[in-house]
Amino acid sequence: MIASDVVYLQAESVDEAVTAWHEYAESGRAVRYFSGGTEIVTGARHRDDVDVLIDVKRIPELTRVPGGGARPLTDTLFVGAAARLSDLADQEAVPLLAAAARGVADRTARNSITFGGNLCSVLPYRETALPLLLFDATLVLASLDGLRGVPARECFRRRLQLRPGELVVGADLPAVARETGYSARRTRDPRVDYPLVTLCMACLGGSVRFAVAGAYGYPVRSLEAEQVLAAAAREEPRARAERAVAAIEDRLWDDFRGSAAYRRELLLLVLAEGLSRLEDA
Amino acid sequence: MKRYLREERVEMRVNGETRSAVVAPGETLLHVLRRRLGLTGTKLGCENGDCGACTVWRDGVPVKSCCTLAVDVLDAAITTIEGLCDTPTQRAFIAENGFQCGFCTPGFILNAEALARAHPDADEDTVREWLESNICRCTGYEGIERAVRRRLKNPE
Repeated sequence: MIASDVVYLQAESVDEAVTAWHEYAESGRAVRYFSGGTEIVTGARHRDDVDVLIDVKRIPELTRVPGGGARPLTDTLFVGAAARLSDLADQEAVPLLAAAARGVADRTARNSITFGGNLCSVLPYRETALPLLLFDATLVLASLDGLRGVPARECFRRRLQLRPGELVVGADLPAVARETGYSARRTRDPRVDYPLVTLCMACLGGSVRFAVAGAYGYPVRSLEAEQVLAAAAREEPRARAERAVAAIEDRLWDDFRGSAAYRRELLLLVLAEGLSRLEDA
Repeated sequence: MKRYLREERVEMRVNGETRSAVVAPGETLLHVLRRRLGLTGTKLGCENGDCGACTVWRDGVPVKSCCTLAVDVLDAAITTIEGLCDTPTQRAFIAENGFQCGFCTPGFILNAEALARAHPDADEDTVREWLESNICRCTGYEGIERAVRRRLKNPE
């Protein structure tokens, strides 16, 4: 049970959702877009911070998953923001997105949690952002002014940078996102747990790219670290991994689940393993 | 656009029947099933989406009713443990003593029966992935796992 006076709307189009957001927000109400709802419903028991919920998961374009085919006239794979993580985990078109989705929560929860919900999560992990950062995806955002596409690395700085009332419609991934790549996830508890490190990695055009969640307080992709990897190409994977991690300016996360030193060591292990695997391939 | 502005009477499809209930927009499905419809087989556990005791089916797919708003599923067919009767999974749980206190059992049975229907030839990884959604605080996992394996081997 969340606030008894909350208002719940079911939008059938992007325009309807965005218009309703402004309609209610202008009257001073706290409005949130709602999709899987798991985080909003559980969070609302502890915080009375929502007055209006606009459910967007019945909007057809928000539910598309890759493998439903590339968009006509483009060479991209579109993932709708209301696609369920269990559907993304089961699809094969974007293997690194499937792997990232599979790591979030548990199977039953993933039957409700959506891609957009994970991207906008208040939790620091947001693992489905990793393949977007890695493959230079474009986020499709809707507002009263219409749709706009924003590069994921520009839009996702620590967390999604959205304007008031802006709705995440989905993400366009380039065709190269069909690459298998390498992914690894390390947790303290072998069952369902938050990640100490999640790594998403691919070799594109001879250059290794990687993005990380869990090790830092938000998903990170560092171009500087990738340049260091490329410059040290003749060194052993472990030495290259150490150089690359040292080049990341963000501060390693330190909490009761794992110290910064432990997370760093796990990151070095999976990064070195990924380098070996990708280069062997 | 459908708008649910306040408590109102709605119809829901639960266990193959059309049920009527007065529901507030912020009410969880778990709350409505137990308190409005008297279907107390769905258990209130952590209310945080972690334990799986509140698992029900939404159009045949397991979801956690503590994280689901009732008004969000008015267009879906809901199945609770009361809607399953003498299924192969229930028989397998009895045969293998797949329970101790029984509190987590409805959630486990709904999840296991959905798994067996979706993946009749489920491998160990798939079984492990699905069962991770439910917690047994008696830690009686061995009996539960035996029951799920029996169910997969004996679909009738």
